Amino acid sequence: MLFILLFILLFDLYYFLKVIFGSAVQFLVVLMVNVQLLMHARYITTLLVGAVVFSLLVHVTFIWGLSEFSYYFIDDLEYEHVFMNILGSVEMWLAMVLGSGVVVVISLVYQHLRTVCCPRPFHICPELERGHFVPSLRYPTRAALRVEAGVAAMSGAGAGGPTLLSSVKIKPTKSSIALTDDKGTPMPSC
Amino acid sequence: MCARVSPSQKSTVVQCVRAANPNLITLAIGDGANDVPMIQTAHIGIGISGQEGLQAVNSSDYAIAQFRFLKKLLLVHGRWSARRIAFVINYIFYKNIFAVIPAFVFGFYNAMSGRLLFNVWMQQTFNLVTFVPIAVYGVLDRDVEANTAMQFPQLYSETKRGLFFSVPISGWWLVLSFIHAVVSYIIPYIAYSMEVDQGMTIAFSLACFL
Repeated sequence: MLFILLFILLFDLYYFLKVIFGSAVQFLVVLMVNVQLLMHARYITTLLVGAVVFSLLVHVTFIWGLSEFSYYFIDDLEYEHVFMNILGSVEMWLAMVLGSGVVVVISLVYQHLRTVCCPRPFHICPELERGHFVPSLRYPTRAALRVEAGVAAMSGAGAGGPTLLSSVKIKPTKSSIALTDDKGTPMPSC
Repeated sequence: MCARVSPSQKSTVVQCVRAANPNLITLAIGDGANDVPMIQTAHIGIGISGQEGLQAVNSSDYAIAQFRFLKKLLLVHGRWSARRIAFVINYIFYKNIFAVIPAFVFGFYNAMSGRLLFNVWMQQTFNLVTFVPIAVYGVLDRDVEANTAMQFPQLYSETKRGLFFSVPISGWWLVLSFIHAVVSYIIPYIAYSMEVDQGMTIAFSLACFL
């Protein structure tokens, strides 16, 4: 009797270990790999985000297909209902959040330490260019640029058309005053 | 600067430079058929399409329309490509090591009996699934805009100093793959262990050996 009970217990655990746990770990691997890619991307486009979402959806679809149709393809019932077992459990969602959090934290800390302790131009230029934690400066949309160009045109560009040049006059320096063209005549100052 | 030299002499000049310092990466640019040997001898050959015909373009690695585009080709597209390629190489190693280590760790739980942690079909589709995002990244990603890269040529010099692809950086990716693999194994293990009560823990360990 004890042997039968132990057998049933081990069979349940065998199912849990091979099917649920393995599938959960693999789903977490795919998720963390994609989060890592997003953390390193500096030019986040709709296509990139779409590709990451597509990747996760395809993996989920594979799990669903395996749990629903594995009997027809590989004559195996082990993976039946694994889809609901993974995505329906609180533990798995907790693991997904924690796994993604670890990736994000490690990546942010590493990038911050490199920028602060060992700065290189390619660490600093993107910050200068896009603004530090200012989303509108970081990724200006085409619509925003168009509005900016329109405002500049209305504010006095005149017949020359829209311009994005700053209206602030630059003070001439010694070197700019001394500039001459090919014929020796001084260049017009700003 | 060499003037009034034959095509073979142009090629010889590049060969001399390469022989003098094998660590140098040489670049040759030309627009005519007489530049073809030089372009093919250099590491990187660039052909200019124009009035001289297309022989130089056909035998070059890259083709540009005018000589002035060389600056943008190197400072902008060259730098972007170097960074993308470096990241793609490191990332592909990272994700494959990352995917293998949990299965390896699982071996210690079953006395290396050869049991598979992942379903074989799912394991086969891993690279298929994760290929799309890195492909998009490898084509589109850029850390600085073109005008910034043109404005600061120092950014280009850092690609030559191996700041994007070097042994320490690849080593860091290796360490990262180990850390992430352990995390991806431990978190579900702890999470699912909460479901299994204390009495079943022994059976859980026994089941590993089946």
